[in-house]
Amino acid sequence: MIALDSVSKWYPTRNGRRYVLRDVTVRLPAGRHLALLGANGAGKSTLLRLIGGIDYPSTGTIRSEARISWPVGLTGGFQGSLTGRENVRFVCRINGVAERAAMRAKLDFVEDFAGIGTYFDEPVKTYSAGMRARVGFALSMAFDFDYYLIDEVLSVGDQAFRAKCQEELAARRGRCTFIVASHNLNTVRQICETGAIVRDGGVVLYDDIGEAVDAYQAA
Amino acid sequence: MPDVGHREKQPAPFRVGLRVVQALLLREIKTRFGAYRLGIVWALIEPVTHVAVLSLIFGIRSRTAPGAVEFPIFLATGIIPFVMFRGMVMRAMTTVEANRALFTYAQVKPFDTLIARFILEVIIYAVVFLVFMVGAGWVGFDVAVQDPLVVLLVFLALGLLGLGLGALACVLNDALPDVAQLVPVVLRPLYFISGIFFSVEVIPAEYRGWLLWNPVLHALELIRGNYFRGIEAHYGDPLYLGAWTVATLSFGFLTFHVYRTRMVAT
Repeated sequence: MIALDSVSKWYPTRNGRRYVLRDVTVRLPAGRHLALLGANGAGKSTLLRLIGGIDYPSTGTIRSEARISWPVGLTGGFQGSLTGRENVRFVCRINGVAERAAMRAKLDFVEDFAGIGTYFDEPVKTYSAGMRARVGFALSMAFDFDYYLIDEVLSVGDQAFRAKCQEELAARRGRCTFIVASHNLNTVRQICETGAIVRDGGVVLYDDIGEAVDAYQAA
Repeated sequence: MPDVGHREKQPAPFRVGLRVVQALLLREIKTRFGAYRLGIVWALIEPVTHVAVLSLIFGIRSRTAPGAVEFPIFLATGIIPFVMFRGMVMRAMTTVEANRALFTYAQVKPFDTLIARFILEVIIYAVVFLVFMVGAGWVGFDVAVQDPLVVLLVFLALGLLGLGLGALACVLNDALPDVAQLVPVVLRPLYFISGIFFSVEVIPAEYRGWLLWNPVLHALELIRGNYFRGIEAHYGDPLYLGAWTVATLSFGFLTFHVYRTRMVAT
């Protein structure tokens, strides 16, 4: 369970505070795959970043005992001068995977899943955007999180890789909870059971994804 | 509904912090030295060139420093700790900026990056110090050290002073980047008034009082007083240095702590 209590997020601008989220109090239960729906700039990504603990609310608290992923497919955390393998090692270490055999297993998984061949041992700055995304996605799949935060990830890579990602996500459905921010209503309907609409700084939860999509389209 | 309750809860924050610092250390070593084959040699070059140039200016071995200490060795005991101190301030100042990408991973906290940089800086320059002295001794200089433990202790205190100031500079760099540009400008004259190439004793009494406000000067005096048999640290006050270190470290960490989310938040 992830609990948001009176969470507000604003950015200071020349014309005072611009609120992205205003006094949001919601409970996101484990085991119910959730879709975040909202227009561009409505605050979906901000909400994901807040839940993931990589950004902080201006006021209010977010509590959770669960292990929450970084936004999946996010590749900003790679250091260009290090190789893909070295970057993966770093993420292994900060997640407590330091033992040789365990790290070896993770490295093999990421190398295999990303499928970028010998580039895995080249500096990340030589990668194309697609290659970065592949390693990013593979990396987030290498760890077992309770919650996966997915930000428009299914637009990653080529057709074959996208199919592979879908497959991997489907295989994990039973073990974790997805929180997906997406504009693609079809994908969202396939993956998620519940929905939330982010609009005008508020978050409204719907128990059924169909209802949520209808409400979103109606507005 | 899937069962997600069986997995281990998140480990204690302190243990997470430890492993993050460890990972950051390995990463910083790789990014700083990995690109060059002769890693540590690069760290040696700056102090060695300073010692060489200043020794030439002041007339190589003809001149001896106080206590019959050979001048290049006298210089090195000032320059290496000073370069470490200055590097510490600058590295700490830019730590949030340089590691911003890593805050993508929720475990990585700004404070961890600060600690990792401190450990690395101290280790690098302790090694540089050691290598320099071994090298100089091999060439024929007298590099005998009187009290290595105290020297190391003062070296650490100076590093911590740099860490405290650097933590403050880091917050400044985030809140008022224009003002933070002044930090290196302030550090430059410090090179000339911290006793790198003189001992406080040779300074006329009327100016001495002013110079002794500078805690870095106290650190260098103390290092020399405990390194060389022939030099007594009459003016180096361990309490004064300690007070500065504790004060800047407390104030620096407190400010850093208060601003930690603001530095990471978008």
